[in-house]
Amino acid sequence: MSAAAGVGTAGVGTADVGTGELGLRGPSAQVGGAGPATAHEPGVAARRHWRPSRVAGTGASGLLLVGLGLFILAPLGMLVLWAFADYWFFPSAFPSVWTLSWWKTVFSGGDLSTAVMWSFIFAPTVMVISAVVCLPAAYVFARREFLGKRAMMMTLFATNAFPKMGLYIAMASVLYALNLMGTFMGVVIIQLLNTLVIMTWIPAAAFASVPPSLEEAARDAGAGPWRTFFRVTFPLASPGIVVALILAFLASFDEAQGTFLVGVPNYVTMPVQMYSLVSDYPGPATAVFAILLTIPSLVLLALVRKHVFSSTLAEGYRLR
Amino acid sequence: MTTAPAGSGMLGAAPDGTTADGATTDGATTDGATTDGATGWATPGQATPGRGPEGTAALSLELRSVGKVLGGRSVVDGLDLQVPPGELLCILGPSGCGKTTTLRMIAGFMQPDSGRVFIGGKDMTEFGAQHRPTAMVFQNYALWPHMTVLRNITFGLRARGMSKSAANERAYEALRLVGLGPHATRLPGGLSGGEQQRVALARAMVLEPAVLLMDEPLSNLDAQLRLRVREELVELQQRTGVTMIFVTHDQDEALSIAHRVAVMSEGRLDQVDPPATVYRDPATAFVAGFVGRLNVMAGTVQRALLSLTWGTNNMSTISLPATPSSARSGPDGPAIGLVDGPVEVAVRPEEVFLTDVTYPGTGQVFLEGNVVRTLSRGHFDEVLVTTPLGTLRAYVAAGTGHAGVVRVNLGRMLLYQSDRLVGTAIGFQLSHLPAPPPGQADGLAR
Repeated sequence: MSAAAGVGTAGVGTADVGTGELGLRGPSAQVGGAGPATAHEPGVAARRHWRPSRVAGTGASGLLLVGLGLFILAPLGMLVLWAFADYWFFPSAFPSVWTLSWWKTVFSGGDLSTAVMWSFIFAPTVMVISAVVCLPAAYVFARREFLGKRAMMMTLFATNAFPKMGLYIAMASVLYALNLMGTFMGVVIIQLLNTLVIMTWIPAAAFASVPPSLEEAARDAGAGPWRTFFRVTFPLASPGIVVALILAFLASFDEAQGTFLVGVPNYVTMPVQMYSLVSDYPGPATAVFAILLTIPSLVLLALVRKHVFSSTLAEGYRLR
Repeated sequence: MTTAPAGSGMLGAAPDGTTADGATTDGATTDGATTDGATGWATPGQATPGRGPEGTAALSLELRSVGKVLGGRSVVDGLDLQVPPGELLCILGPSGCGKTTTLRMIAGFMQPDSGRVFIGGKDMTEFGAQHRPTAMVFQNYALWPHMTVLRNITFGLRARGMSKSAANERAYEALRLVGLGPHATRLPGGLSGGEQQRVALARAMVLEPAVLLMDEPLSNLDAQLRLRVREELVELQQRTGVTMIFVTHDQDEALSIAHRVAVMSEGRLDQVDPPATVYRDPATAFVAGFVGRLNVMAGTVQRALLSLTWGTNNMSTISLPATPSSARSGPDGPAIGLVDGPVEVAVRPEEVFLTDVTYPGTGQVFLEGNVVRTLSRGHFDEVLVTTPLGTLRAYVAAGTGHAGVVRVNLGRMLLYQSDRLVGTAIGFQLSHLPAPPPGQADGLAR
């Protein structure tokens, strides 16, 4: 369970960090160094981590760092230990007997591997569909003024303001009416609820940060609207768009409640499977599954760090 | 002090000089522009002046009563402008006067709400920037930061369907011309401001535009570099003969590089003339105030005589013959004449002459003042003098060392009524020789 929480917070951490460039260094740096769930803690630790001189400067902050590290890493460590533990009882600090059997259980169990499959089918599908739907909208939000623009953007945000379950139940009645309950499209639609705001707000900010004069210069040089978009606007906005794509992927990948409501029993993804695992399997199997769930987040966040926010690229993008 | 009769003393000889000035300047206005009509650049295809049904084919650019309303405000208001090929025209005006909006309408980033835009004789009003044979150098250069310098330059050529190798060849040539050959593979972010500016220029020039548009391209450079780039621009324009529209708020820049200066104020063109004319005969009070420094006084005109009065009891009055301006109120409008009544009298600081009171008065009227402050401006001194006509600013030769009470003589005065130049008058100037005997009309040294 704690791993599930960790994954969730990793997603949230990057979400609020996606708005500011500076903040992004924080979690991504930690991803490289420490572990997934550290993304939850703000960039203070990360920045200190980067510049040891400052840490050394104040012993208090050093202590704080250690405390935070323990607070975040200890449960994760436990999770990893659990995933390989056969016998582990109270007084001993480490399992007395180690095993890989829980991993075998997870990979051999038909249910579990199907869940992995569905997760890796739904997440890219939802990511692509939300990109196709939202990117044009994001561009319009960034470049045009129209009546009700703010209201529309706030409406998108509002989907995240309510308890999700209430929203899902309301949606479910709509999906029933449309005969989409228990269908692939139904699951996709319910997962899109989470990705719409990500795929609209972040790319809109990215498009808005591309100076209009760069587009005008392209038009002036004789480029049509498509050439201008794909050669100038899109490449310049792409860091923000990639972040949004990754966050959308993770949002879909980690989504459990809506998928549970709409997809079960036909479509069971990994987070949904977690629910039954917790009740039906012993703890170590759950730990293995939780670790599997965090891997895509880790890989994707590392990619974000490596390819989107590497300093060389940022250097080239800065004009004067 | 006594009142001088109109014809007395040093005022007598004025009319000849003035008429000559007033008449010739306006005649020269139109000629100066058309003379440099050489077109050195050969532009295959797009830039050839088309035989537009309505446009004047001989002109690179023509605006016909172009207007634009933005946010309920008339930003550009019935603008007429004709630019012959090969001209370097500066649109000069303060911030918010509509000069950039005008440029954007020429470039095709904005559609005018009224009027037509002709480029190379062809009506381009409905065309977007993509289809216009113009190229723009943006104020912030607007280089694409994710493309190398080379790709920045080939972008437009590729967009127009040129093969990659041909485009690269042209781009390298353009880069060599602006001295940036070795930087072809760098990203713009790694270049200095001056280098970025040159890349922007090369990017525009490589398209061989019919009209090159520049939106305050020097404003982001430091002072030294600005002067150098300014000269380079003039040189480039002369070499290529490209028609250039240059928007700036820097009068110094406009006066020094332009063939003609179009002074803009509140969406209208107040004057379109060669720099010397704009400076010497500013058509409106706005132009006079915007271009160069100015002393402004109040006077009256009565039957073509300008009277300047000072002192408390109307005791001191000088009357001078005033020459009506030959300017017209519009292309076909009536001549603007001097109307009897109050008039604004404007004098350039270099037309204010100071003499030390070292010789006895001769019974004539002299304007006297106190030197308040002398500022060294390097090759000349700027002297502030309080006179009964107000505080006047005078530019005098460096190190003249005026102090205390000085005699103030006014040279060429510009007369404005309802903010329009209606005439000029030549004041009087004393030589440094002892004053001539009264009544002898030889005082006017100009």
